[in-house]
Amino acid sequence: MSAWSVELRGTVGSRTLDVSLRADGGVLALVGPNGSGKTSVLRAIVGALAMTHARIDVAGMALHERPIEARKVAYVPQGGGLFPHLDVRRNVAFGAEASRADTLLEQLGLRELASRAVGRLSGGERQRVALARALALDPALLLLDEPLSALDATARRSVRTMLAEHLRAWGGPAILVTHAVADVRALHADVAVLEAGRIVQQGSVEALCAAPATPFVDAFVTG
Amino acid sequence: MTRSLAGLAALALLGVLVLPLVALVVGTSPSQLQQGLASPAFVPALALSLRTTFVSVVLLVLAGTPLAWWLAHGRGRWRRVVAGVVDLPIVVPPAVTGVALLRLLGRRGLLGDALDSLGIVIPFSTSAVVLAQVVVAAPFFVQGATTAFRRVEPDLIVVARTLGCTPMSALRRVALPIAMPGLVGAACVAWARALGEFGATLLFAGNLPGVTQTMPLAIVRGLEADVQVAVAFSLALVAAGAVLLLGMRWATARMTEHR
Repeated sequence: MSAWSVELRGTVGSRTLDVSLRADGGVLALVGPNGSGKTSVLRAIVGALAMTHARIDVAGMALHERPIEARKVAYVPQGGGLFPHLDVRRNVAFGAEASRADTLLEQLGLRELASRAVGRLSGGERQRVALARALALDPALLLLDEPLSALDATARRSVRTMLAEHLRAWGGPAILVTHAVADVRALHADVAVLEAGRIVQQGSVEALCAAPATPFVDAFVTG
Repeated sequence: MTRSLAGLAALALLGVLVLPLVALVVGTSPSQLQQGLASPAFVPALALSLRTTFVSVVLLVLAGTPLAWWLAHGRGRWRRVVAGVVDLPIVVPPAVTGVALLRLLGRRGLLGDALDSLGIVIPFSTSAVVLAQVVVAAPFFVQGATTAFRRVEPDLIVVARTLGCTPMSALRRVALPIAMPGLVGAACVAWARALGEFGATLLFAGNLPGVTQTMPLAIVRGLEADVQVAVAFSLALVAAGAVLLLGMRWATARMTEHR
């Protein structure tokens, strides 16, 4: 387990972001109302959003001191962010050696789809390819922005199971934005709740259930 | 009733677009065409048109691509102002552009003395032809390229960066390939506009055979001397445009079919 911590302070548009997160590893679910700044938090950790103060420590490495391309923070934006001009294999191998990409294609059951154009993938397949590409980087920290939204109920269940299985097998630290407490439980994740640019509560689902700090937390844990 | 009126109007528009070209082709016998193309002005004018438009498009692509990227994804309030400036040659008549170029770069123009002292003379030279073409065709390339770059989701660039790309390599490996069909289309439209450029060239570069006489200018000169020559030159220009259009359709279809 690699412990990590994130401190971010700055403004994004008209919103102030003042976020402090830490975890001992595993998956942390970042939840919050629409417009609370969840995607901004991820983009700031990646390094794509300038902050007045940013500190990102993962397993003793000060990632904020590195440029984006050297941070080893893998980012899966909403919809997967697959490169439309490349097939599945080339997407997965984009930031990794071919042999590593082939291993990931195999592990995520994508070998059959390797030469398929990404425009012809289903929503669930897209998330699978995006995860393979992110893990191929061997990231220090993995960021997933709503990988389970915009999927129908069946695909959502299967992607959730796929994520739980592969994130556990990988074992590295991940932050995942979601709207559903069922996702949090399936992924055995702790929860951090972001409201209006601040973390209002962080802990296990049980801890949040026992003492919800805000009406949003209460509504979230009761599903 | 309304539907048939609208259909009639559309048909009339198509007629206006196609019938003049039909008249151009139908009214010319092969021997007349051959005779017209044998005119000593033909080869130099065609060669000059091809040479100058090639240089113009290369210059436009080199300078216009970074500008289009900035217009599509840059920040700041100057973006709108710059986009307006780039579009100006569309609303300014080409003849006005020609006069304006003369007022800037002519011997008695704004920069005339400075250029004179450096021994540089632009008006009525082949460089003037290229400059006129670049100015009138620029909005067509930059607009098309900007639209093409807007289709590149900013998130994809961020993802490419996280996967080890520097800003330049993200542009090369992700943004350019995604935008490529649009960029090629924009370059073709700009080339067509440059090929047809007349007004600004006439005023700023003149009509000197072999030096500044491009095909459209040769057509005008031909019209004064021998209508058949003008018709034959026009047909050659139409053929060049058709080849360009078909080539562009084919190239962009090929680039997008695997997506």
